[in-house]
Amino acid sequence: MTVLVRAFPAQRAVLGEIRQFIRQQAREHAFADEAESLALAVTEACANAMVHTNCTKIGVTWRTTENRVEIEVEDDGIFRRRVPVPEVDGGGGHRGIPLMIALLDQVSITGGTESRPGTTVRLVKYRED
Amino acid sequence: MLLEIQETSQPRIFRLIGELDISNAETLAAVLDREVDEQGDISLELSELTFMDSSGIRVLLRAMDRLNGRGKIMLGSPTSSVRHVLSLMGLDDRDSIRVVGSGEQAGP
Repeated sequence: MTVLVRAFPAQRAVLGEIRQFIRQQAREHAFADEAESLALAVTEACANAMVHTNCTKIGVTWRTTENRVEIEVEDDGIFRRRVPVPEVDGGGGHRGIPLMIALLDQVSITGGTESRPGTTVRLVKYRED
Repeated sequence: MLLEIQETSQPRIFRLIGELDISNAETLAAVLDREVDEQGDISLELSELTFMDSSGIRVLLRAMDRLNGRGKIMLGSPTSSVRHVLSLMGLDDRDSIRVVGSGEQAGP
């Protein structure tokens, strides 16, 4: 098993750098065919953290086993616990999570609380045989 | 700067180079906002755009909405990763947004 952790400042300008980290790990761990899907899903997870929480940094963990890759995107913020309503929020956004679900095999989100801040998005993709 | 937006010699045709994400989607939105009140199609040449996320999709949908039938948004020669996200988000199958010259079968 390989585990790699990188921390990034929660700034939109570093999203390109985060994608480069993901693409590089995907190439090195025989997930090259999935590199762009993984880079896109991680971008969505990080952008969500930046938009919907007050986080200051984002940790990205790359974990590969024989048959799958698991990427965790962890922030130090607290996300707003409410359901987006098109009439209130406009139809524009809120496509990140459905997109992650379409791209990957498993997506889970664990929200933090006031006493225990931090939101973790866990993304899993199984290796194609 | 991840994204370069080039005006071409023809009106309402722009070339996008680089990566489009939430860090620069508003720049593209501002360019399109200047065009959407006029009649006619808006073309975005995408052969050198290597990445687009949901914020890019949001900008395209907003421009489509503001064009309000005065023209279409033509997306030229998207790369495979951009084509994938357009397809996942259902933007490759609308009357008001057309994907042309995508390497596979060209649109009608």
